Amino acid sequence: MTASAGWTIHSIQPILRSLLALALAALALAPLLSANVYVQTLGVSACLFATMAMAFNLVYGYTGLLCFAQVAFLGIGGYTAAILVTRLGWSFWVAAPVGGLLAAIAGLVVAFSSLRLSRHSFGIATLAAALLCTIVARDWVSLTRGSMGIPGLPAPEIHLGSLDIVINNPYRFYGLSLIFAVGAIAFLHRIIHSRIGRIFVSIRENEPLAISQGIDPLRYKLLSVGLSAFVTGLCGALMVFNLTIVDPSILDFYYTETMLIMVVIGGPGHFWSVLVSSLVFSILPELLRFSTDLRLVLYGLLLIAAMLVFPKGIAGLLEKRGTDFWHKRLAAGRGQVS
Amino acid sequence: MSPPLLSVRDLSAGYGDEPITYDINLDVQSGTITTIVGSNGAGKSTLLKAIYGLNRKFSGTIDFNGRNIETLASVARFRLGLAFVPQGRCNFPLMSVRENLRLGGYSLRAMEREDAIERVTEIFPILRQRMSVLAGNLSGGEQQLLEMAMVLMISPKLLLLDEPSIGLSPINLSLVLENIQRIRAQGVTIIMVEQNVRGALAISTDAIVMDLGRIVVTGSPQDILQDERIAAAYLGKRAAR
Repeated sequence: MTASAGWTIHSIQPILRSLLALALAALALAPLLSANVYVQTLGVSACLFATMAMAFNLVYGYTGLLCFAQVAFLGIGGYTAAILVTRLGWSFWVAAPVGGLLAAIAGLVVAFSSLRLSRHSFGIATLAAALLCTIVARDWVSLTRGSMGIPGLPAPEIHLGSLDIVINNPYRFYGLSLIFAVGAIAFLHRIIHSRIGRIFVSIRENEPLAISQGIDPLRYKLLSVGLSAFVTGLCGALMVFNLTIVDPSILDFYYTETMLIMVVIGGPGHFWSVLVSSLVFSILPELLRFSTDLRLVLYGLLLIAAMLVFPKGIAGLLEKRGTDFWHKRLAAGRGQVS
Repeated sequence: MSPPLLSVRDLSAGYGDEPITYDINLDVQSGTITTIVGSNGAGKSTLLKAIYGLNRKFSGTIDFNGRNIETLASVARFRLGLAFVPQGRCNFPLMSVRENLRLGGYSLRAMEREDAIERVTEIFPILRQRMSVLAGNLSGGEQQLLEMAMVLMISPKLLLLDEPSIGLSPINLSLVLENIQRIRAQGVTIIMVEQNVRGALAISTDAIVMDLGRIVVTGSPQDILQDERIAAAYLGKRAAR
């Protein structure tokens, strides 16, 4: 049997890529073409979750750091932007990046203090940071208004000469979220496929070997956490201005769980499969709304089924096909030599 | 005689609060292959890691190429020309051969890195044909070549090899030893820890026997192998035969 018999990920990769690009483009355009507010709102959610999942994939999938503080970065970004806009009258366009920056600084502080010990310490410290942020959001009433939250966040405005756009409806917010998601995900793609991205993977795969190549793992781990926190913080700012309120529910463990599901099912350390998985798992809970009572049960069953069928994620399955292809080719090559 | 490339004096090193190696004194001349042998737990790998700065130093000094290095971090020692290859598989299996080589030349500038890739693939031409293949998909022997090529990317002055043949088949073991000699021929000085005593000593210029964290014998590989008492006491029955 020759290696060309049967499909492999290598042989159908160009077709897969084209189909995926078309599907993503169609999916991205659907809410813009639809007059349905529900579809547009779902589109905003999908854009933000996809970006959050990709940011989490950078730190967990590519660098191998299980970070439970993503939700804290989301909250820090959201609360910072909301407070700066409502209390200090800052523009959303300045407040949102400052929110991202503050989330990145918080991530660096937690990471720097814990990563010098071990990866496990990092996991525990990030979990503690997430819990601490929840307490701060709930109990520092003078700053965050506690469980009342900060309501009535103004719609972001764009003034370009004579052009004034107020992003005050789901259609426009979807447009903004789509531009942000495409930009942020393209940025993460660039990082992942650069030399820095390869270094992240080398640290995840074999840290002692990475050190032996002259790589300083702490520096790159901090970079990974910082970048991931910054992007997640920006997502938080967009999320709260879309909802027009920020309250402690933004720090709910649900967000951590969702990001984990998206990345684990997609295949940690893989780009396109995690992107597809994040879009599927953004939309899936909505598709299951036909049965309010059984929705969560069905969701759980689908997750279990996915884990049984793709124990290493969707990408793991595709990668196995690719590995089998190379093993067959190498074996065939050796057969010819002998 | 020229000054040694590496000079270790009264070195005690280990992990946590406990030293594993005690009062190590060692001189390594340029262009040599020094093999450290001894039973499990003798402190061989600990000594290599101490030279590279991967564990805790309790006392003593380490001079490399005329410079005192014991207070430097591993990365700084690497920049001075000291390279360490840890135990086990020493490539990144989920990356292509080219990406592995680029990581091997991490400390080089982009142009130097590409030149180095050209240089090492001239030494190991099979790698040129496998540039876009994932390292994990290479055969055991090809992976071994890749690992050697990664080491040669930076042209280190001193290479520390921790059990390079561990887990390899006899065919690949001889390939490893052959490649270690090729690396030496490129002007690299080598210190290695190796469980396969006979094979390693056969290609070495110097030998060190360690036991319970101390150097108990130093000398030429032939002298050590021929001394039945030493071989039986420290190297096990197979080496003594």
